[in-house]
Amino acid sequence: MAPKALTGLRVLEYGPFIAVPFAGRMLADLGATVIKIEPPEGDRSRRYGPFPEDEPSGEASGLFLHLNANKQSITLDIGTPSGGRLLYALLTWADLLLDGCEPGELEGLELTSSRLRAHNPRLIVTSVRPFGMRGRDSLYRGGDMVAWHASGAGQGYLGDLDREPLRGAWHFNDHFSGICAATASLLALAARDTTGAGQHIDIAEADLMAMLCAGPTRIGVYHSVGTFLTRQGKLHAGGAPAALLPCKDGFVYIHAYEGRQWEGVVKALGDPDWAKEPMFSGTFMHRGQYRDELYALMNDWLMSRTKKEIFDTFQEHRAPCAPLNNMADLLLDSNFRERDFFRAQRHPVAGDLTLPGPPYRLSATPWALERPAPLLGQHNESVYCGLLGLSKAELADLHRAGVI
Amino acid sequence: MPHRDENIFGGLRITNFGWFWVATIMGQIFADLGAEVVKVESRVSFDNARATTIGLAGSQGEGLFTINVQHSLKSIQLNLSAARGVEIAKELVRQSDVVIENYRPGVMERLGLSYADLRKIRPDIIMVSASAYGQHGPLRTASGFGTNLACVTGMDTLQGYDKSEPRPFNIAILDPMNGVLGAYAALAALRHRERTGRGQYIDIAQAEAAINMFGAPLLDAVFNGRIHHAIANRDLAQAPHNLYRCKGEDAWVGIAIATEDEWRRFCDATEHPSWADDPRFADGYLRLRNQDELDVSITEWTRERDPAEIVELLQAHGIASGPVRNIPQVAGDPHYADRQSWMEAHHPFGNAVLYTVPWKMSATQPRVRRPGPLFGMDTQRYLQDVLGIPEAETDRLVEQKVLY
Repeated sequence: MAPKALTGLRVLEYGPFIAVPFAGRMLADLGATVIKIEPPEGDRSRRYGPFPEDEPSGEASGLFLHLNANKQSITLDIGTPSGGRLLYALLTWADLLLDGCEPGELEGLELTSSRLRAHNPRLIVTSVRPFGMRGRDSLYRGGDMVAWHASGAGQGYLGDLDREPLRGAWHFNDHFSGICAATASLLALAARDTTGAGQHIDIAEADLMAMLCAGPTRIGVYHSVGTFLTRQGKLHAGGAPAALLPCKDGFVYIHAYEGRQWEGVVKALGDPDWAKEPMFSGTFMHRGQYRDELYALMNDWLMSRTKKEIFDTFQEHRAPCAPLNNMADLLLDSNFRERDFFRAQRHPVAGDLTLPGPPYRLSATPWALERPAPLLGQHNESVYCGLLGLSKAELADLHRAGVI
Repeated sequence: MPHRDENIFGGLRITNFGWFWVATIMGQIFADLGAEVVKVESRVSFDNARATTIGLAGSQGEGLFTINVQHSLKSIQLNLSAARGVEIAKELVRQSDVVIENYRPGVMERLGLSYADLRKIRPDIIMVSASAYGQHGPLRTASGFGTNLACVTGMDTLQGYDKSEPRPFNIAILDPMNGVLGAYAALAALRHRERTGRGQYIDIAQAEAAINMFGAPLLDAVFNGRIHHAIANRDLAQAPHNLYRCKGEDAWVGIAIATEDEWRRFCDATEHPSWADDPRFADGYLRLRNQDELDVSITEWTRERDPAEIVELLQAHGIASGPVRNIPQVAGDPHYADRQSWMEAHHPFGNAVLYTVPWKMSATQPRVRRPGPLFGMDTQRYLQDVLGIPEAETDRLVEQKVLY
């Protein structure tokens, strides 16, 4: 079996739904041992679905099955004194705690990160909160939509001016938070190799789009010159062509930024005479002033062709273009098939699954999908008895008392 | 006391052949912790990122975008279409730990700078290639920006007002997402190298990384043949969950209620006991089914009020709620100031505001080293220092358009 990059890394994951579980999944895929602590009733993503044949089951929710593959599951009520003691025992074992608690929850239980790290000075604690753990709004509750809109990503970019700003696709902000949590955790691990000490990482979901997206594209400009852009409907705020445009059987996104890419677009369209007009010469930004005219002139050509015909013609001329696929289209796509992207997995309750494959392909330490998402508390015995040395009788008592 | 060390990657050298956004972010994450990350660029294949967004007064086309996304990086001009340029690139790789690139697949091979070539020069090199569709497969050389990828991966179908009105983000938000994700993969590879002395190659297909965020909608297609479409700001599992119009121009507030307890607190906070007693809204299922009516009722309350007033009231009752900020509001918000999300930096063309680091590390906080470099500003000095090329020769190489 191929070696793994994160073999030996011990991770405790305590946080519901998407952000922290996605971070845990990224670590588990590269070989970390990830023990997911669920409350006795289970992670709420177990109730979210989708379910095979629409039959609800806490063991067959698609959201959970995707985000928690390759992990182990234990149940624990950390709010009870016995639960708190077990958590401390596990923290002695762990290198990293991924923490996605509600704002104030850990503090209420006197489980602050400084206490946890006093217990194990090599421990890294990575906390993800809607607004972070410091700053005026740090105790505010949130979620994907709240964090997204607080960061300016809706007002600044997405939606029509006369309607409400829009949230990003399918919990984008939650997933982005998970990616940042996994990355910052590995930074802290690298630091620990140098310093010998763990540390606390504070990630605010509302920071990410504000800083990494609006930062370079809007905030810097606003500060320096006082102007700003707002949401623009279907079209790119600046230049052209850059838009999702309708065609015979759906939509295509055409985006020609460089001069030679624009030349490719013109050739793909069959060198029409109108393309020689001065308004369409020059730069991407120059053409942007005439974008309505441009898209109107392209319309007939687009509406008489399918997504695939347009994509193929554009690619021949090296003009950036993409068809708008839906989720079912992806599963049939020949490129993903040829790359063996989607992966089959068998789950004891949900049956045969098709899951997204590797987000990165590491040649020496490959990403691997090895075990299906765990059943609720599937690893209680191996963790509490095997790892912490409890007897089976104690385990039964803890179960009876509702601690696990 | 924790050992404070902001240079945990001191001595780590990264040669970055990347352009535009994704590869730049990848390198920046290391540079902010002390790695020497040099961006290799040239007039021959000019990185048009430099012309994106307006710049500081007198900046001659150096946009604020690159001043931000290239912060902490160095820049050298190196013409890879000249044989001597490629030789110098190889000498730099010999001195490097990591190579990053996001050319169209095949370009690095054509230049003699493929992973197979580079590992002969530096056997433990870690090379990260980011491309739209990956290094092999039928679409490997297809053109595409991040905007195109949001379309091809189905992301745009999950974003918009409804099925008939998808809305693209129009800015390549998959780039910063994939940039962080690429740094994660490189960090894992560095850990493996630390333990085994071995390098490796990392192939990132940005489309495939993005699809890893769509687990639940994808599995609904697998399980039930159901196609998900945009549902604006709503949620599949909870209501109310939306933006609501407030007093003032284009003013909105986000409200997300998950539990029965939160719903009762919301009715209390808004002094609407009638909602709590309304049979249409009596439980989570009914609120989801009747959310059109629910949203109308809530809007009657919100539109008389200011967003800040609503957020403060609801958060005081433990309800997830947030402002819907525009760009100036994000830029001026005290919470972001408290978190030091922005900094002012001295740049040759004046002071620029930069985003800082989106995670806060208690012991080894990454730090912006300098604003994004001017085109090629480190060329001669860097080649003299790192490769020991004498000044007389770098002068000659400039004349010969090798350093160009």
